Amino acid sequence: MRDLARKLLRRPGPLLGSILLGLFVVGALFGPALAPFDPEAQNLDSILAGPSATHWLGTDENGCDLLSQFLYGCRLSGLIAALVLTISFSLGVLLGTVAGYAGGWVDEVIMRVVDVLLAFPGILLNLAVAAMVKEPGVSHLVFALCLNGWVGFARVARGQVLSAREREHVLAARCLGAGPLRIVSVHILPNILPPLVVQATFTFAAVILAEASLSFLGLGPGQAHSWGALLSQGTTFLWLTYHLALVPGVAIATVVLACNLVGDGLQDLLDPRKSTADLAPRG
Amino acid sequence: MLGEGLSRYLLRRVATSAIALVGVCLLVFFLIHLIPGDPVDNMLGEMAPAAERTRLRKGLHLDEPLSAQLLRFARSMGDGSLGHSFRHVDRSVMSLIAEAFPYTLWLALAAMGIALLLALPLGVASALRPGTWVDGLAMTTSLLGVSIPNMWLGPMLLVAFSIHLAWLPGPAPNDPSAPAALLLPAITLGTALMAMLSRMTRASLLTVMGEDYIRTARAKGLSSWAVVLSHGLRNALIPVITVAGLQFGALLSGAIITEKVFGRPGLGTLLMRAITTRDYPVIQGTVLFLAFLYVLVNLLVDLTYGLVDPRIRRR
Repeated sequence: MRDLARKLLRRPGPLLGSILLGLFVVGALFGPALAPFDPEAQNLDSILAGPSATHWLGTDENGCDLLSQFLYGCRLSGLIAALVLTISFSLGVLLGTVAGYAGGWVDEVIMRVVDVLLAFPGILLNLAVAAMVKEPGVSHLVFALCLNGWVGFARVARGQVLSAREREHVLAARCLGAGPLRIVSVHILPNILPPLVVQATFTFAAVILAEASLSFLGLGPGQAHSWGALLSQGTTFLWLTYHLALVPGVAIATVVLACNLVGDGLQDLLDPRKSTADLAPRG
Repeated sequence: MLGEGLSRYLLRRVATSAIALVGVCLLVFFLIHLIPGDPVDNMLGEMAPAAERTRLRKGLHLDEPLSAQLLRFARSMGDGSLGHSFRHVDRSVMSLIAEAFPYTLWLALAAMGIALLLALPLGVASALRPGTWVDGLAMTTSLLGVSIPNMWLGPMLLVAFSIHLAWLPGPAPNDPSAPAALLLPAITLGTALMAMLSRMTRASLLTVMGEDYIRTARAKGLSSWAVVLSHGLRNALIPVITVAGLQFGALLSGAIITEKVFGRPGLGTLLMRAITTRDYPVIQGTVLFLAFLYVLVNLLVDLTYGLVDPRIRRR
């Protein structure tokens, strides 16, 4: 993996993507500490103002500092994406590995559940779940996004396990009396990690987009300054000023672009034939 | 005519789609039970007045046993009504969907048209000049296209073409079906698909152009364009068109955001209005309708793909 990372960072696209993702992580970790103002603090003398020395990204219709809201939104997006990615990755890899290794009816049942969840295009299922709660909180959103977030990991893991379990070193371990748990954890999982990492980068982008889309539609966490909600708010003032819509939109697009650059680069290194395949879907 | 392998593939594909559809119905039925806690508390908040809570519980038949609820749900699907709206008295959910669907369908078709119209030249240009600035430009465009969210692209297009240049109508046009009113929403919705298809066209054409029959066609003395158009593109397009078809269902659901941005009527607007007014039967019905459509369109595309590609037919 370290060798892969070194090769990846030698290419300009993935390097740019990694730098941008690094900035996002810094924003998510230290955003509130870096914010120059309280995101709720109103400056009524400066309403819908453009960028200035005091308010670097301008202010909203209540005179609140947009940069501060943006940085708090960075924390929220990062938190939700990290939670969803961790849960989806763990659940998906677990179920996909079980399906691929066990085969038979276990595989059939898991794959049919995958089929059902894939029958909901885009954010439809997430939206439907979030719509069932009057005021969705972060936990509701994470639940809604995890509900089908694991599916991609399960499919990749299953496919990889199906091919890995027939390799010589796995057969040798089996002949030496290794149990299924040891074979999977020691001989299979470490070898199927790279494609799962590619899947993780695309899923990260998809989660950022899905969260922003739900917030944009008014189904995000109520009081928080999510990028989607900021964008939605910004679009209502398009006729007066467009910097309110510009900032969160550029931020969302940049993070998704960064994930695509890194994911594309990784995929190129692992399997050049597939380099044009699964880019993160847009919201 | 169909090989045994293909027949088995088709049968399996139909069977898995049927299972998926049953699963979709069950998942949509259990949607209100998915979130931990009392569904009525979740939907109205714990501070809601008792009368409103009782009304919702009765309206959703949550006071009945689960089996009776499931039977009622199945009956509403069987008679095609998908239940009755809370807000529009005496109107079935299906009648509301039927009213909104044509707007979304037109938008999705227009988006698909724009995506194909832009993706094919971009992909072909890129594949014919791999590694050059043309390729770089085309692939950068597609990378940006797939990364820019339509909830941002739409407003920016409005700023440029409706506010500054005043060339095209703004949000909530009087006639949403007019071509001018359809153009910006279609571009917004179709850009991501365009990006995906142009990359696919490039990859597919690059593979095909390396095949032996292309070399034979060249050796026969055919012009480069004849080789590309009648031998290369014709074969390279099969997977591209298939993916375009498979993405059609996604376009229909993707229209939710585009319709909000442009204030257009359609399934997305119906769904969002139902969410705002807590009209649960309409939420369930619209989600079910979109998921059904997605599964059926995907099945149809898969079956057609199996039938039109002679290489698959012979297998």
